[in-house]
Order: sequence, then C-alpha cells, then structure tokens
Amino acid sequence: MGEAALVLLVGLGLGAVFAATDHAVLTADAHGIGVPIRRATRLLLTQRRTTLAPDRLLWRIGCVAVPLLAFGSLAVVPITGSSLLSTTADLVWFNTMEVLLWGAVWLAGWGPNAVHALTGGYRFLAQGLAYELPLMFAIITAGLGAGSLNAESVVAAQDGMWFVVTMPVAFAAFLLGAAGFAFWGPLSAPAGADIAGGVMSELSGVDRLSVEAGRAVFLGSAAAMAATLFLGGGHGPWLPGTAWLLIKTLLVIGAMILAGRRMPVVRPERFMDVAWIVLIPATLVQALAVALLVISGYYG
Amino acid sequence: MELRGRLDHLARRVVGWAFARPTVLVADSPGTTVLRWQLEAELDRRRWPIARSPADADLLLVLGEPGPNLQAALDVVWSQVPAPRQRWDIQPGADISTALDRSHAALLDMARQPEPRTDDPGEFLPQNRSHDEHHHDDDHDDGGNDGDHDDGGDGHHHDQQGHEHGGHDAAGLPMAGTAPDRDGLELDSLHVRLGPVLPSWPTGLVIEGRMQGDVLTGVHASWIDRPAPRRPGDPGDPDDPGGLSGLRDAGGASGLRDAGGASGLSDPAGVSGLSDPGGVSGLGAWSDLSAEDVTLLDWLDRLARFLDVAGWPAAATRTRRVRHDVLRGGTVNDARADGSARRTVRRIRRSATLRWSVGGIDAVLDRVHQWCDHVLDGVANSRGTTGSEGDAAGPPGGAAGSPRTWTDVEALVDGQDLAAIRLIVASLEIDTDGGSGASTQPTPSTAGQTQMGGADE
Repeated sequence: MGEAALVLLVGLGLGAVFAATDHAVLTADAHGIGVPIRRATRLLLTQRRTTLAPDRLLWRIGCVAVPLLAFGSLAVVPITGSSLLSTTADLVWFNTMEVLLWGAVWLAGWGPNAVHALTGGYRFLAQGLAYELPLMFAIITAGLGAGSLNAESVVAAQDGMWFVVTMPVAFAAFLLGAAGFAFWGPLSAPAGADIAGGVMSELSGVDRLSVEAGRAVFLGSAAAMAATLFLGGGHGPWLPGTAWLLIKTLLVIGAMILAGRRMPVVRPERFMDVAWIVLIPATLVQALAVALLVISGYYG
Repeated sequence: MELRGRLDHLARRVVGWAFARPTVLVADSPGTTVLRWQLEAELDRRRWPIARSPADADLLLVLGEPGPNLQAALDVVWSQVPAPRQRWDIQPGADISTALDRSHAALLDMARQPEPRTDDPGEFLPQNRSHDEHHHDDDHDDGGNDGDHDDGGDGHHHDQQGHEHGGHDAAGLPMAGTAPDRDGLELDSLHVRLGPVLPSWPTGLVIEGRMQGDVLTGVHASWIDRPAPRRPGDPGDPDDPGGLSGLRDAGGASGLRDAGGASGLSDPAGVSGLSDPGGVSGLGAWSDLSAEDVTLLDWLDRLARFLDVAGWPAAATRTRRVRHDVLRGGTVNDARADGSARRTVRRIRRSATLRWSVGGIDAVLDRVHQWCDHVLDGVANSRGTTGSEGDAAGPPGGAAGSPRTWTDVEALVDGQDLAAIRLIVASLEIDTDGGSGASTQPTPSTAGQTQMGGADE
C-alpha cells in the first residue's frame, strides 16, 4: 500500500516538475512553478463537453488509460532500491505499458468523431511505427548488458560503470522514444497546432486533465527509467540511492526539455525516414557492440 | 454558519486562482490585424494562453464586426466552448485592458455559480442544419473549429459528393463513403472543411475538399463573407476571360497579397488599411506607427503564425515578443527589439530541423526564409546599416514561387496532407484585411510582377 502510494506520489511529482519546467522553457516565464497545479484545478472546474455522435465508451477508455499506463510504467522503476512490481521481466513490462498507449491514444482520437482528433490518432500510430523499434532495441540493449530484464538487476550491473558509457546510442534512442510515446516536443505531431491540438482537440474538463496529466507522468516516468537503465539508477556517493535516482531523473528531465524545445515538430513522414534509415541500424549496431562486450566479459 | 461562510470564501478564492489566467480563443474579423496584435501583446503581458481549440478555451474574444457567415461560424465555435465561458466583442479603438478585465470578471462570476452548465454543445449543430444543406456540410467533423454555413450555392460540393458511394447518416451527419484515392484504391472519403476559424489561420478562409486518409483532394478555396472569386470558365464573366484577377482586384474578393510582399507593403496604401487611420483596422492611437513599422510587424506576425503551425512554440513566442516590442516602441530603432529580433530570426533562419522537416513542401521554406531576411533587412535599414544576411537573397519582391491566384493556391494544396496544407497556407502572404477599399490596388511594381508571373492577364 505504501509503495503504491509512493509510485502515485512520485509519478505526480515528476509529472508536475516536467510540466512546470516545460512551461517555463516555452514561455520564458520562470514563475510558472504552480502552473500545472493551477491548470489541473481549472480543468476540474470546467465542464466536460461532448461532441456530436461520439463513441463515448471507447473515448473514455482511451482517456482513462493514458494515466493508468503511465503509473503502470513507473511501477517497475526501483525508486527506493526496489520497485512496486518487481518481476523477472520489468523491461518488458515497461515496454508493454508504452505499447498499450498505441491503443489508448488512438481511441482518444477516434472517440470524439472529429476529423482533427482522428488525424491526430492516426499520426500517433504512424509515428509509433517509427520510434517503436529503436525504442525496443534500446531497452533490450540495457537488459543485454545486465544479463537480466529485471530493473533492479540492471541497476546492480552498473555498480562500476554506468551503461550510458557503452550505450550512448541506446540512451538517446530511449529518450527519443519517450518523446514519441508521450507525443511531446519534436514528436508532438499527434497533438499538433496544425490540427488544432489533434487527439487533444475535443477534450475538456476532467477528460483533458486525464490525458494531459498522463502524458506528463509518462514523461517523468520515462526520465526515471532512463536514469535507471543508463545512468546507474541509485548509484552514487554520500547520498541515499533514492536521492540519487531523483537527482538524475531531474537532470534527464531538464536535458530533454532543453533539447526538445530547441527544434520544431518533425513531421511524422520525415521522422519515419530517419527512424528506419538511421535509428534502427544505429540501435542494432549498438546492441551488437554490447553483445560483443558481454561475450568478452566486459560487464563482469 | 460561520464555517459555511468560510468555506464559500475559500471556494471563491480557489476558483479565482484556478481561472486567474484564462485560456483565450481569438477570432479576428477582416481589418482587425493591428487590434489583434495589440490584444496578443496584452494577453502575453498577462500570460493568458491562447487556446488551440474551443474545447480548451475559457474566453472567446471576437475582434471587430464579423460578417453574417463568420458570425454563424462563430456561433458554432461558441457552442463548443465548455462552461464556464464568456464571449466578448472588442471593437477597434476600445480599451483592450478594460475589456479583458470585464470578461475575466464575468468568467469568474460564471465559474462561481453552483452549477455552471450550458447546453450540450453538440445540440447546436443539427438545429442549425437545414435539410438541403446537410449532404455537403459536415462541419462538425472539422475538429470542432469551424462550422460555417456558407453554402456558396455554386454546386461545387454536389459534384464531389457525386463520386462517393455508400455514405450513410449518423446523427444527421453524413458518414464517410468510399471513393478511389489518388492511387486508385477504394478508401474512405469524407467531405471536410478547414476554417474559417482555426489557430494561426487567416480567419475567414475556407478550404474544403474530399479527405482520404489525411490527404485532401478536389480542393476549393474561398473567403467567407466575400464574393466568390471569379474563375476561368465561370459563366457570366465575359469581361475577364482569364478570370483570375479577383485576387488583387480592388473591389474584388482579394486575398492574396503581392507575393514578394515588399512591393505592396512598403506602399502606405498597400498595407491593406493597416496604416490608414480611417481604415477598418482602426489604427486610432497607433497611427504613429510608420509604414515601415507596420511592414516589419506584419512579417513578424506571419513568421510567428507559421512557427505555430510548424510546431515550434518556443520560437513563435519569441518572435511574438519581438513584435510586441516593436508595437510598443512604435519604432524598430528600439535597441532591445532590434537585438532580440536579430537573434530570434537568425536562429529560425539557421534551424536545420525546420529546413529538414518543412523542406520538400512546395516552396514553403523559401518563403519563410524570405520573411526572415525581410525582418533582418527591415531592422538593418531602419538603423541605417547594411550587410545583413538577407542581402544574399536578393531584393525583396523576388517571390519564391508564390502563387498568384486562387486557382494556383488550390493547385498547390490539392493532393496534400493536412499538415502540408496548413504549412503552405501559413507560408502564403494571404491578406485577411482584403476588401478594405483601395488597399489592394496594385502598385506599379506589383503590376509588373503580375505580368512577369504571367498568370493573371
């Protein structure tokens, strides 16, 4: 019970930090710390509108699923040295949560029976075809180095050296994938301004809060997972492990936002080119290199 | 009782805090460009965000006096704004700050009602739909951002519908039928209308066509509340065999500014009434803006809106801040505005990601780079210096493949996907203030270019 509450709390906290930092960088307004909480309150006080002839059930399922999957992905991050759900296949679990988003986001786009929302839903799927394979290869590369798919074992394997040293490409591909599945920053085309907000265009009130918060929590969770898989998780001198993990997570969040907001949205069709011509071969070579290092006994 | 009073007080404060920065949807009628700049400057100062769709809006601010069809479209938009909400008209010359304060106070009042509920927004549409219209008017499907009832009466839509099979009605709306796509495959096909009210879109412009996937074909472009532009082959237009001059025709539908921008803009009469104190744009107290300032503001505005559409909000915000600075300073000689303009615009000009992402769609990138150059030139010229980066791009007016006529525009966007259409439209120098009297008189240089282009005559 306590651990579930911790995941909830850490998830909301990281999501709020991500949203606040994002807002601060976007608007160059350093006083925006309270913005996510204010916005959440505003959405709770706003009418939940509907459209003409919506597919109400599927729409609701899609909206509710986004935050649930986000918290689910955080459940396998060893926040206090151990995670809420410690399984033999944590990395697969994380991957599953994020793949189920394909359905959730598409339903959120399909539900309102509106052109822009549906276009956004399809853009998400198209983009998924581009980022998903590199993301999977990146996750599996960390598991390969540790010889285990358990997140705690991956952290343990980074006792001497962080995986990012030997897996820089996988680290970058993971963060890019995170931007993709949370459709944020340069990969935010599914919610693009050119389609009036896409999958978000018809959402108001608590429905919008659900999806917006879910995306933010997912981004925070992905940053924590990146710190776990590639930056040594809780390893570090003097401070307790949890503190180190949070510090690293915050640094990843900051780096993601500073990098991601420096560029415009990459159109999905362009991103598809890069993903298949550059990213997939690059992550495969990365995995091959790590495999050779494993055989040579580099990781112990 | 005292406890209850305290709770009420607390609830009021929470509502006031939650709605302290309401989200705003701005609808600018033709001729209110300067008013929109002033409003956006004030909104940025208050840090009130701009909504992307009615669903996320608290305030609907209508600038100027929309024509009957735009008014009807705005009624539909308004029906899709969730409560608590306020709709407020702002006329040119009005005190923007007061209007914002009042609409905000009214919004808070509504939010503090025990049950701030309005009608189901969806109910609005069928009531407004006459039986005749409903076969080609699927405005509700356009992301909830339009809903104009301008029939046009030209029969154009009926032709398109004729190609589709198997459409059925759902809730009084036609469902998608199927039709062969551009590759000959049978795909779902839906009649879709973009505009007249969308974020960073020339308010009043309507582009409609048949959508398959996210590709639009059979595109028809028009202005709401303006006479339909004449087209080649249209009956009843014997005087104008080319039929295309309506674009820049003084009394005509207007719409496209001279492609190079500079020739029309540098002419005080060519700024579409922007610099004309008596014009529709209600320059009023802002008449101290020189024509050059207005030109620079116009480029910055186009650039900011393009960046919004291209999904680069950080750069769009910065560009808009430069515009506010120029607007407030009333001159580009303000050193701060000058410096930040240069930094911002150079960064956009150099962005490899923008080049790569947007490149390949028509000449969108060229036109946007030209605006960047114009801004850098404008800043340099007003400071009496030369040698900006823009020199390499040649003199202003060297149009980067800009279309000249509606038919050209339709040809440009036909067969493109939604993203490309939005980018193309955002990169065109479309004159939303068109139709304001003499504003669209071709200047000599314009006429010369027209002949070079060879499309109009």
